[in-house]
Amino acid sequence: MSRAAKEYKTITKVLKEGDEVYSQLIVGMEPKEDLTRWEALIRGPSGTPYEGCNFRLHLSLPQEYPMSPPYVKFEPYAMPHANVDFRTGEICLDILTKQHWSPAWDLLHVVQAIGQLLDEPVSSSPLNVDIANILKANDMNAYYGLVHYYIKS
Amino acid sequence: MSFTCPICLDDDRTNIESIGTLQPCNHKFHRDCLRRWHLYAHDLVCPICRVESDILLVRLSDDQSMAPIRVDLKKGFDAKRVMEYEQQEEEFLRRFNDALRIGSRQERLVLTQCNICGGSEAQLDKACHSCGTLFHESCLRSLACEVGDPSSWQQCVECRDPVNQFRRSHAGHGSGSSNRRLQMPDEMTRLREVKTKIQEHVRRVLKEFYQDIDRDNPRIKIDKKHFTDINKQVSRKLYRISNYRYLRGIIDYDLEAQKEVRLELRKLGYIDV
Repeated sequence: MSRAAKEYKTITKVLKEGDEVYSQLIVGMEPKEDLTRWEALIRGPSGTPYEGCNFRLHLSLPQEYPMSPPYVKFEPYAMPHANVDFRTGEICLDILTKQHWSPAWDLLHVVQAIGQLLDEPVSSSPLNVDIANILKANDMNAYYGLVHYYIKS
Repeated sequence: MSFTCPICLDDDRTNIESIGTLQPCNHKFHRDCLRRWHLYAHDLVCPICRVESDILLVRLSDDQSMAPIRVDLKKGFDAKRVMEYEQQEEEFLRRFNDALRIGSRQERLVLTQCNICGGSEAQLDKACHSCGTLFHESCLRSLACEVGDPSSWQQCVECRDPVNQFRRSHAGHGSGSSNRRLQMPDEMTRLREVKTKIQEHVRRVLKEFYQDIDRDNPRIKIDKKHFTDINKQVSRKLYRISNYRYLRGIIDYDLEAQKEVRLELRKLGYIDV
């Protein structure tokens, strides 16, 4: 059985039975068409401006997976975040790069890391400069306001 | 024994020989999965804890009293070296000859490829202890048939010494190998010369296809990638047919090369050859 099939089995099991770590974050996660394309719906973590909203993630597995990291993106024009390109949904996260990826990680780890990124944006490597600047200035009102403005529109 | 490889998540290949333990961190993986990762990552870092490893322990049996084999990753599986090896014939030779090293006290096994097919998959089950070359038994046998001397399969292709069973039976062996190894440079030079000579023939034949010698009446054009691929394939085949010797009077290399090149070209979809 392929690695993707094994992961499918684990993910279905985890989501069905509920898991302390993952059920907080993941609303749903399933493959599209074949096991190389996945979609996940994640909950905005509490205590962040994303709370109360769900966000869609697109994951796709390269042929060399798990030797190469999966490609992960948010839906375009849906995620205002310092480390996400708003137009494309592209995510800047070190574990998704070839240099930092490890084949011992799986898709659940990846989604979890993205959940953590929502919680702790890294303003030093921004893909969304507006939000990063506000964060650097530590202006929480403006941060919440801007993120909400984008999410609502 | 239950073991799930963190890389492929497979838990049904429980053969003890397939599992390797990294040192110093003690994390376990399928040897093949781990080696693929090392090759991919260009480093020797553990996928789980990111500690740089130098040794991979492989057990050949469940018997705990038997010491595991220590595979020196830095020597035998420097990922970068393997990449270069694909391109450099010289490197190619050296690795074959480095294949088996017998140290003074502990055997040092270096993972490597079969000298004949170049593959490292399946079990390398024969080794020449004189020059440290590894083979698949099946490759040795088919090579012997190819050269029309089926009984010669038990001879090392490099030095003609008898090959031994690899893995289990070489415990206790080790004397007499060091002075043999001193002769290796000569052997290597000889082999390199053979390879260069044979390659000349192949190149000459291939060039006729590659370049437009006659502009008005061009022969087919091969792209560069195919040129090098075919060159490699055909040369290797010719080394094998001539048993790693340059046998000019016996083998018509130009003719053989022409035949093989045509065959490879057709395989790649070139017509009119």
